[in-house]
Amino acid sequence: MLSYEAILLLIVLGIAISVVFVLISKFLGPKNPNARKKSVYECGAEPQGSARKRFPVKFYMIALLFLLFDIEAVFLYPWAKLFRELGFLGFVEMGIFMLVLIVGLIYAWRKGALEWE
Amino acid sequence: MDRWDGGDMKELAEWVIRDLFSKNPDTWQYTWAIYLAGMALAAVICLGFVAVFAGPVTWVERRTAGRIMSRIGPNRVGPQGVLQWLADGIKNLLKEDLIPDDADKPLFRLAPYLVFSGMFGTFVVLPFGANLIAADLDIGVLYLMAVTTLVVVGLLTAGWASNSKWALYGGIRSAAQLVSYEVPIAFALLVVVISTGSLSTQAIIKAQGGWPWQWFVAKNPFTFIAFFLLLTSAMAEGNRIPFDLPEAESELVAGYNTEYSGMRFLFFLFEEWANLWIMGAITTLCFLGGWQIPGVSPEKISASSGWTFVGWQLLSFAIFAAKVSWIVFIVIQARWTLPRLRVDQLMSTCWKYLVPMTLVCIAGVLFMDLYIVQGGITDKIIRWIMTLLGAAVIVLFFLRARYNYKMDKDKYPGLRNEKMWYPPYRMP
Amino acid sequence: MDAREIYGLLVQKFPEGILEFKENLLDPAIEVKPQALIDVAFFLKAEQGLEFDYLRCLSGVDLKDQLEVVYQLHSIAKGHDLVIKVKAAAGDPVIPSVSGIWKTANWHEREAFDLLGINFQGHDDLRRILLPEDWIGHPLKKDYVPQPEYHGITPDRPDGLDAIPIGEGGEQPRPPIQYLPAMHGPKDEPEGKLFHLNMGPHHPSTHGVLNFMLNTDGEVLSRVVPEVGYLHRGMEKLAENLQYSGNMPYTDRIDYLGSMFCNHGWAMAIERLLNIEVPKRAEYCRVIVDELNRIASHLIATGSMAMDVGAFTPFTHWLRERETINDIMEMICGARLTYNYMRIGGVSRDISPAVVEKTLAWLDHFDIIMEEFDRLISENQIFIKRLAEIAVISAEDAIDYGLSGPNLRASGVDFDIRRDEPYSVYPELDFDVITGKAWKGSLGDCYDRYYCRMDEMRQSVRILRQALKAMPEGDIRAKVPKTIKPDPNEVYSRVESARGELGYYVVSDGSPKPYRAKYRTGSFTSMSIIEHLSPGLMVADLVALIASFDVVAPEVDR
Repeated sequence: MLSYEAILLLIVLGIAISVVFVLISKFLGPKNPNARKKSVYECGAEPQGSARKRFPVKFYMIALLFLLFDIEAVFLYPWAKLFRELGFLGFVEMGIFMLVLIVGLIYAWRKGALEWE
Repeated sequence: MDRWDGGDMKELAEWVIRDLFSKNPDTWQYTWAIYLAGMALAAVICLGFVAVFAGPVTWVERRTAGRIMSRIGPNRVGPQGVLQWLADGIKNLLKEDLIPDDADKPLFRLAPYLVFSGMFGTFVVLPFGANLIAADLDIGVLYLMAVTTLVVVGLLTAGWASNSKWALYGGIRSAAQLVSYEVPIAFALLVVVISTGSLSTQAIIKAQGGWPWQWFVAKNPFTFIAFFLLLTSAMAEGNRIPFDLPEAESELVAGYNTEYSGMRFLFFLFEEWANLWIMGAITTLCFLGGWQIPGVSPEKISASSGWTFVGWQLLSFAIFAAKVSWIVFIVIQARWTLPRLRVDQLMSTCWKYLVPMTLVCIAGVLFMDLYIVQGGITDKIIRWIMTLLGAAVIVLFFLRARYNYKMDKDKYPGLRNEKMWYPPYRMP
Repeated sequence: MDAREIYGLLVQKFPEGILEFKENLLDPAIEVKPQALIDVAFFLKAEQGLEFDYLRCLSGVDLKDQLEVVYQLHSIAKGHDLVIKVKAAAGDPVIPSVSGIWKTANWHEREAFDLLGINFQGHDDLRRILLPEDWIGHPLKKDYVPQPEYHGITPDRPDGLDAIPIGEGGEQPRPPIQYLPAMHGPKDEPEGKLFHLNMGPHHPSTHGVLNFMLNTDGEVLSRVVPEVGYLHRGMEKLAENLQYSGNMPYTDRIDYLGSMFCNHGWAMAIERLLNIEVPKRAEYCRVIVDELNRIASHLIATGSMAMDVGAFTPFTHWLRERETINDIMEMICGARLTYNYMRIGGVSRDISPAVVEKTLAWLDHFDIIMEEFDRLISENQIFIKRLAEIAVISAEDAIDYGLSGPNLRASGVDFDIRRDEPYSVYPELDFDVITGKAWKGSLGDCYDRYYCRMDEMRQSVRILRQALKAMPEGDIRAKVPKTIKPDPNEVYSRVESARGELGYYVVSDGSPKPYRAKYRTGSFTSMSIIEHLSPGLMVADLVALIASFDVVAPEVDR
């Protein structure tokens, strides 16, 4: 499966070139750091408290929904490829599978998982 | 000497071994070296292309924006400012490389590479022309979806590692946004896969034709809608206005790249502009017939040889690039016209509108595929109607533009001398 | 009801609490005992027929042995004004806070505390507002001694010029800066649950160096505390050290987007003190430049509103139009931003026929451009979704917090100083007062504040057309004594600036310099409502809200 080696090679080469550029920039760029420069940006004010804090569960819900639907999509792909061979039976089978997930989406919707407030 | 009958870099390497070295690629001991050389060549070409695209497109975008915003835009470096991107790149190269003290340093350093490789990886399966593709994977579309997710990881890493609140906001927002819009993209691509019966990007293009009515966008009403859904979702994946929340400068200052400077910062920008090509290429290959030359079948291209073959390749690339540029231009125009959505509006756009609509499209396409015979009279009528509809959309756009232009011009004598079009050389 | 009648009513009701009726002042004032202030204030607000629901301005004045607080009251419903005064001994200046009655008083009392050291009893958040926490002394007190240095900054210039006499003030220990949790911390929520975030002073959408301290739960805000004062230049202190006419260029710097209004207000205040009649032509000149300035200012306001919700293009188009106004202004007074155009008793230069011609031509062009603006952004669905139903301010809240100008009118309150308390030649001109109409959402939302400004520009065009045509011939300046020395008196003059009511409270003591000048600005007053509006908004909504108030940082901080 040589095509996959191509991917590896491409990504390795991409990273290698970007590393080289960062190194060049390190070599060429000035270096006079000070405490102010190296502090994080909070609009010019002293940073208040840490950024590593509890973040709302909202984003977690989105992640869960994504997992569900992305896995659904991954299941759908092989079926879509063979859809013509599977014919009407395949259509019905996948319809049932998708129906379950659509019901899931409607449930999440009604439960307010898609609302922000 | 035998003719190279198409395919990707792997096949090209096999052809080289067979024809130039007269060896059997399966048994020859230096096969790997030729393969490696071929792949390296492909990688260099891809990288070069990304650089050459992402750089000047920033200039194009800024000049377009200037035109839209009734100002000039960069016009100093080189003729009409065409070398502005080089100057910007060099400037970024010479910037001080800063890493905040509080940052998670290994992750902070890693993030730009993740973003860059995620972006770059997609170019492996993106075709540029009839036989111009690094690797024509059997699972091209799936790979495309998988590798773009790497960008999300990179952005989230950048936001988290910076230990800056604005960056964290940007990172979290981008994670939520990109992850959400992955779903409608997956479903919209599914529409194409159903129509093609293959996951390979080249196969998808070959399943379409050169003429607009042979494209998937005109195949039936559901693919027509799916095209717009895919374009919208792709804009969201590319962090473009109206979906640029991860770096909403009026809210988050700069978002996930707040703490980055110099070269590392440039990688994020680079990703963003290269994304324009990816966005355009995916929509083009899936719905707009890819590199297909009107009236010339892929078989005819494969059957040609010598300079004719090279000519077809170049022509197919030109066609592909023209289509992609058109999409890129639309995306640029949208960016400089529309305001930005809010987070909750963004999420509801995705989950409440795009996802259900793509699901409907899938069902519709399945139905149409089962009951409408390809090449039959119904199919032909539907294709013609959809083509006319598409043409109507484009005509409507130009009519609207002309209406707005005429309306001001007729009323105000000061605008009499203003032209609707300016040739590039007359640009200020 | 005039002040004398109200005095009669008050004396009847509070025989113990009312001290004096100062009838000889330009704005007759009633002096109230501090102990009776709350009762009197409540009576004034609640009594049928009085209904003083709007506190325009609250100023502190140092009378050397006493400290005085002056309340300029107004009734939107009845349309009458009243001035009440309270005095406290300089040694222990304690005055009850009226912030529970008029919310406007909240920030104005903090300012009086900051600059004059008046202790407002019952104020729930009495801390410095314009000056930093660790500042020593109260600058507007007459016995204030500047500090020799502040964090390494000294007032001495290296060349020895302008050396300010320095006292012993700096020897005192500096109070520590209290950041957390007094200003930043959560008010109701348990600590540690929320994200504390500084938006500003260096943030693209705070419109200058303002700081908003955000307590957020992810994207949703639970409390926002505006911190102002980054641009405080002590304009009121400066005014006390300048002659009346010499202060004119300084007023330009109060509001760099609406310098003409600042000029106008100051000129009007001094003219009232001197009892000068301004020539008709000069008044027309003033109205013309005012309205041009209003359009210029609203262009920036609406354009930046679009920019803050992500649409860049409108802003540059708006700026392009504003450029012509700048050109016209340059033709009129030679300056494009800080005009220093008006003089006490008139204006500095006449408006030439060339200007009239150019302005009229531009107005024709601008009509079309306004349509284009509407097509470009006002009807954009995303734009509407981002502004409509966001940060709705009820009419009661708007009046209570002392919002003014387009911000007040957007909530449906039909109040415009140009019409209701006419000054200059506005009574001779025909124009409509634009109030919010719930164009896209509910009354008083961000979209109403946006569209009010758009419609006001159209009204300004109307006014300009009339004024340019009706401008009579004549002098452009009245006869004014060389050194302006008004008799001891005090005056509160107000103009309708682009950002609402711009009031000047000026006290003269017979010397060539004002004894006290207080600038009441629209931005400062409207900022105080943000904390009240913020819970439940999203970060992106806050940006839209700030933009919709059209806040200009120098006007907030003066």
